[in-house]
Amino acid sequence: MILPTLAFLIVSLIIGLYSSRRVKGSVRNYFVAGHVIPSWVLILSLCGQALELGGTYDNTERAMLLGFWDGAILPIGIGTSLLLIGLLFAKPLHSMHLLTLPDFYVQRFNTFAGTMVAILCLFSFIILIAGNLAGMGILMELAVGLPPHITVPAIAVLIAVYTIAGGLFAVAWNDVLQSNVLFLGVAVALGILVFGGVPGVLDQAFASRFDWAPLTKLESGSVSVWASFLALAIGDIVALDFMERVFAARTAGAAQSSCYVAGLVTIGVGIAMAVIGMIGATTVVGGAEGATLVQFIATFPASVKMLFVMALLGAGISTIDGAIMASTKALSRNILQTMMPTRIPDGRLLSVSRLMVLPITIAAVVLALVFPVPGELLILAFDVVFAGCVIPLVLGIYWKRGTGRAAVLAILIPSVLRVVLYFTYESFGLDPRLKGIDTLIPPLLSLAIFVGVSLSQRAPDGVPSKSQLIGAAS
Amino acid sequence: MIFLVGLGVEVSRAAQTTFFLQNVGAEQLPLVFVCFAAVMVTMSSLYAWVARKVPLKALAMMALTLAIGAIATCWVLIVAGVQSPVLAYSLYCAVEMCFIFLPLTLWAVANQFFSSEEAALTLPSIAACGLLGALTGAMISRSVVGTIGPYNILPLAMVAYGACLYLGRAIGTPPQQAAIVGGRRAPRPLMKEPLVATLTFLALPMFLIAYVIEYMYYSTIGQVFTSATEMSQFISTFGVICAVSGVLSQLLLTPLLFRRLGIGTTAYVYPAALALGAMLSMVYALYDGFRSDGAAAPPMFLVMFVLAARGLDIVLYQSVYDSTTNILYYAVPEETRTRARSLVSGMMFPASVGFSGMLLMAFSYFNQPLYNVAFTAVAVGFLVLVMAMDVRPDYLRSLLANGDESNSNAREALLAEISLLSLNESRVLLLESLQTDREDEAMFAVQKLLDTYDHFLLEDLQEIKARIQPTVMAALINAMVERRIPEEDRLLLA
Repeated sequence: MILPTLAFLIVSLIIGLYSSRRVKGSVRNYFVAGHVIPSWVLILSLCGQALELGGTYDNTERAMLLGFWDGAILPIGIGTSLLLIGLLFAKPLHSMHLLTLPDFYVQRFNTFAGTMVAILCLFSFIILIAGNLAGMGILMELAVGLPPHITVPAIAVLIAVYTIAGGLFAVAWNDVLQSNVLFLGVAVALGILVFGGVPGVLDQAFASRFDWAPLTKLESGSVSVWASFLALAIGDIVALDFMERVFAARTAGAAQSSCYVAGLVTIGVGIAMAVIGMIGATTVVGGAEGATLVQFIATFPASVKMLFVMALLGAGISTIDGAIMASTKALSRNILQTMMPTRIPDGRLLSVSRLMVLPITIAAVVLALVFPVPGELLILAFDVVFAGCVIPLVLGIYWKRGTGRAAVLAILIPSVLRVVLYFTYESFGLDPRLKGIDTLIPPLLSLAIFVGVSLSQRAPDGVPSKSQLIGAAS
Repeated sequence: MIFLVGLGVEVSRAAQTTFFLQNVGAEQLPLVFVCFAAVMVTMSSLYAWVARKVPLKALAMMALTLAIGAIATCWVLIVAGVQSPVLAYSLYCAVEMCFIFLPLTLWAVANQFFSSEEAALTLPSIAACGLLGALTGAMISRSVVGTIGPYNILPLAMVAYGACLYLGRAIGTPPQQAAIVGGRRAPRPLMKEPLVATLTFLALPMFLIAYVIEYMYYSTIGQVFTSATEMSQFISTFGVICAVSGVLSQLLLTPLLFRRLGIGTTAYVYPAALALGAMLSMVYALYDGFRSDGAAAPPMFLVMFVLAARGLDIVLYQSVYDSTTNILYYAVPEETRTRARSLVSGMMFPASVGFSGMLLMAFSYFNQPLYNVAFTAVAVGFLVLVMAMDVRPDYLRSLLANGDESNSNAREALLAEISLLSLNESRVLLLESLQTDREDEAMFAVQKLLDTYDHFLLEDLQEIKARIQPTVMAALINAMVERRIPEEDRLLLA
């Protein structure tokens, strides 16, 4: 599998370097690809971002070991968030010609709110990158036989190089390769397992690993499953990487329709991956304790194994590059430029952004090597974003009375509360079956704070127009 | 002449392929690709040197004479019973060079004789004649190969090239054309011309996939057919199907695509077809991974995937790609055009073929299965898809940069292409034009940009204002005054 892996990585690098021709020294080209990404690329790019190793590798392994819903809830939640973005946010946000999502908070509320969102998202994305890099280490060991401490930095360097060169062009153009390889690999693996394997394997798989109880019964962990779904479906609305693609669309309508299609495809591919996992439980692995997806993949015919591993590599790389790009933008534009506006004028923003790829990548590599199973930390990081950032975004667009102070408090307090609940939940002595409720409380508090504080302040004269907002921001 | 060349190439290809597979085998295809690339580079240099010294008519006559001589020599040796691999390699290279150089020369003649406005009408018809020639050649081969044997159809190719040589005497002096591009400016360095750079970069992976697909096609039919006559008949039948599809595609699809999508977007069709072809080949390669050595012939429905891949390549190369590329070249000055053609056809094409040969040899050396080769082609296919996305903006950039404002037809064609773009796409393009040192290009961009003025455009202008020439900036401010754009906006650009 060494040669196809090398070919895949080299082609990714060439695509990234080639796309740098289109940056032409423009921040808008680097950050949002000049708003010229065609719809079909946007769909592939959104799918590539949504189907990270959590939605593919973890999903399949969890479905194999724990059951369909434990795995499939991840891509279903992420896919639903894309549908919601398409339904409620793509059009209004695209029409604002934003460069980053925190820019919305800056324009609608104030700079402090934007910076807070950027910091929260930055931390969660570094953990996301690290988690995916760690997963890539496992896959590369399977593909080329080299240990993670060699392959993880190597892949990170490759991705960083092309991201520095081509920005969002490099990332989105690469998704054309990576997402398509992912679809191809999943389709082939599922087809071979269902139609070329043991007769009736699908029935056995469903009999063994599919049950509605995790959605309906408290003792089967339904609160936790629904909390995960809501955290992903609603929390991922503020995902920087999704939003940068929405901004990069040619038109608002294209952004909206691409989100719908990508959401449905994400759910479809995620379910297919979960079905592969369920088949794994009934065939070779047999649901044995400690069994892993890697063991299951090792039983595939050589050609299918190669394609499936490439599919997972595609899923990982497409997420890592998008996440590096999104965090770089948040760090350079919404944190560093805000803190040091004179040292980073607009004319230097592009070079600073390119430079910032390095510390973000290095931090993620170190985290991936030192703490390769981020699991809980990743969930916590995205829970914090869910807790604080969603309500100000939603009400910022759809409720005119929202104020800057309300936004700051609605971001800050629930975020802190979520971290406190993470460490103290056990001490409350709550029914363990209600685990997951700690994810759902802080966003409700955020809603109460935002509405309460906004209503307590004097009603503003009206929501500023888009041009006023942009003027204020610049 | 294009008809006769199409006929000659198709007829000789059936003999060439059969002789190679029978005497050398599909496993040596990578090596012949490398040899062909080496011969091609040498011949291209010679061709370019001669092209600078003699008129196109003389060049065409010389190329045809050489083609007849090479094919005749190979045929005589085959009839004399020579079955050496050297002859198989020579015949392969000779036929492939006829396929490259003869149409290349005739297209160059056509470019000289037809204006850019006539090109959209005439070039597709000329390409259709080439396809009809291929169709006729394939049908003749198919009917006579069973009677006279697979190699005795080579004289037919010689006759076709001979007739072409006779007709070529009628080529006169090309008329003076109103250029789509301004002749008064000094042409830019070759790779500074965006369209040329893109077509050059694109050629490498594009032809690499085409040759990997060709390799898979020959490997597959080598597994299916064992007798030379059966193989030759199949190749001819396949040629007939491709030629019919090609003619239909040229007559129905190409004009439709030009009308609906514009030239720039139509240029995307062939690269997309190659990427699709690579994926289709992957299906067969996956089956091949399960197949044991010495197994029976593969099932026909799986072979169809490889045939479809090869068919897409041949049909769309000879119809949509040929016509589109020839029209695209009108966006660059004539001098640049000739050099660009030499670069793409004479350097990048053989480099690509040679590279595909070396890649296939490397896979073979490391005992890599066919599915790994196919996967690499799939990955390169997506690279091609991505690179081809630059053709349309770069075509427009070249039109904008080289457009002659006195040629109203050319300007209308440009505006028609721009009208197919979204607001953001046209802005990116025009903002780039605004930053050039070519004043009339920048002035055109000023007017077009201000037609859709809004606050976001002002932001974009602020970002690039340092890179706009002072005279252009002054014109921009004046145009803003004329259009009564608020003073505070103008001050932001000062």
